Amino acid sequence: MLTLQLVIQTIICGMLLGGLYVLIALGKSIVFNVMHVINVAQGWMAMLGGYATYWFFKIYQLDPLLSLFLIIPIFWFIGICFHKIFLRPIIGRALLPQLVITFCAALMIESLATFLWTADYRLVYPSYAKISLNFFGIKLPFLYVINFAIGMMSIIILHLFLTRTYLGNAIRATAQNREAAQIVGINIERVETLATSLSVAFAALAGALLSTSFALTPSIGESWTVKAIIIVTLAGFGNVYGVIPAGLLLGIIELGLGLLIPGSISYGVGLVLMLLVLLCRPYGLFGLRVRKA
Amino acid sequence: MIGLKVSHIVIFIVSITILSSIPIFLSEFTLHLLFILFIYITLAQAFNMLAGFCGYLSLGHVAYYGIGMYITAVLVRFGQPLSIACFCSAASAGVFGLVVSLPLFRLRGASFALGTLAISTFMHTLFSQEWLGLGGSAGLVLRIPYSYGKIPFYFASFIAAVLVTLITKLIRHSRFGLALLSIREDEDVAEVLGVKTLKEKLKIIWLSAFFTGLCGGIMALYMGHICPDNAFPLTISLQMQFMSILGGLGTVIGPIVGAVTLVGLDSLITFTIRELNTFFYALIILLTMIFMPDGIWGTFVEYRRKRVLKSNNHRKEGGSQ
Repeated sequence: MLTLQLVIQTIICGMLLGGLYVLIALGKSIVFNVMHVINVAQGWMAMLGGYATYWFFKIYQLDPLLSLFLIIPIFWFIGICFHKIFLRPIIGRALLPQLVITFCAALMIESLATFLWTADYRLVYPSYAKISLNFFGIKLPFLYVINFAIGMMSIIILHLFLTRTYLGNAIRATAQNREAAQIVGINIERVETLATSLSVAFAALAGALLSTSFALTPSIGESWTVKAIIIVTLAGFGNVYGVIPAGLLLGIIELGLGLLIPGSISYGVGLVLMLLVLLCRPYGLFGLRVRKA
Repeated sequence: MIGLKVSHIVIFIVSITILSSIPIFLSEFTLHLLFILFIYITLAQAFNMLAGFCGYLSLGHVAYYGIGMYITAVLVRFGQPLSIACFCSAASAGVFGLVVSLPLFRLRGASFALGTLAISTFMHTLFSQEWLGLGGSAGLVLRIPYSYGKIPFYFASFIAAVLVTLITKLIRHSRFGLALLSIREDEDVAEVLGVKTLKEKLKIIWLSAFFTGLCGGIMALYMGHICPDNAFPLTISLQMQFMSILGGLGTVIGPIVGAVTLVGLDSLITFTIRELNTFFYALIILLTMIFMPDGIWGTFVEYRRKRVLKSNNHRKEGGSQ
């Protein structure tokens, strides 16, 4: 039974959900732009962030939103280690070693997670998870709204960081032209480390927020990575801000099709869309025809 | 004639004779291990054909594998003999590869890899649907008589592995192989020089998908249970990459070395902590990748070449004095 309210509710919920996928994809896009490395371990990092939230919640009864203040510094540090161990050897190498090494990293993370938390489903369930907001008959889960708000806030902070600070400018300069950036005295090594830790922190933030609305299992990283890949492709590689509308679109497609067609075909539709974009608009839905794909 | 030495032919014939005569003396477990090894060799060679010679990195070869599995299952359910079912499924996996790749070959590099990944993941979703009549996520069950034992499967996989290696060797030293290598080095230049790039690429994807589908068909009969998780696991695509890159891309022996290493690792690592075996497995591949970028066989070949060069230089210097 499709009523207008139901349709609007689904679309808004989809946007709220897609906003969180944007966070995962954003990190991937930053790493790709700065280092030209496709990091497939991104979704698994998000999974790790979700489990960290779960641990804080289970052991210290810490609220998932409060634990963000701990998770972001921790994953910032993990990002530095991740960069030094996995990403630095593959910068500038061919596509296959990049994919294989980051996949290896992902497999290692997944097996560590299985070892630490077992393959059971885990859910972070704060006391306010049941509250739903009601706007003129459109019901929205409070958690989705607050998670989306936090996600968008962090994107705004990221934008301010990238445009208003010296380090942010350095990151953008490196993404535009490595050699020129080096010539004007930017420490490329540090900028790359910064970009990786930013992306890992963003993935962990997304995972922490998603862990309140999705059950966690060590293998969920795979589907999150695929979603991030879809979003980045829809936006066009090299287009960082295009990731935001693309992610919202994917969220709407995912929930909207779930409403229309029973079954799990929505995941497949996202993939078909990605294929079509690759074939017809290789520079992305919102990208300009600047770079050769 | 095609870069073959007498010693190579002798080694080849002797190993084939040994491998085809030992199965009756082996235990079930060893047979299983060897079966998996031959399947992996075939998969690695099939992947190497496309990625190693042609330079197109596919992340979705498991789509052909799964198609092979499902078509075998359907044909066997309709009462076709097992061997014909296997062969037909391989051929149709090849055709599927052609159809899918025709648009995909407009892409290059990372876009091609991501496109193939999308296709294989899409196949998983598609075959999970109930309305397709293939059992949805629960899958199909085949009743293969238990009396067959493991020996027919051993021989099927063995023949597949030998065939694919021979074909790779033939391609490597043919005009076709040179065309592929030129596409790998620079596609535009190859096109200008008169290589019909699309035609050559389609030929190689047909062969590659054929052998991947053949492996899928054999595996379907071996496992007897075909479900989307069995037929389209991302791990198969991953392992194909791991094996060919561990051994050395673009060589004939490399994928075999990679497959042997991987199966050996797999059976060795089972004796460590069970939850962490994937961890060590990934760690070892990672270390090999970082310290041996050309793979095991590639590094060995390079080392041998350098030694020969050195000794040649040495001899030259000695002669001039």
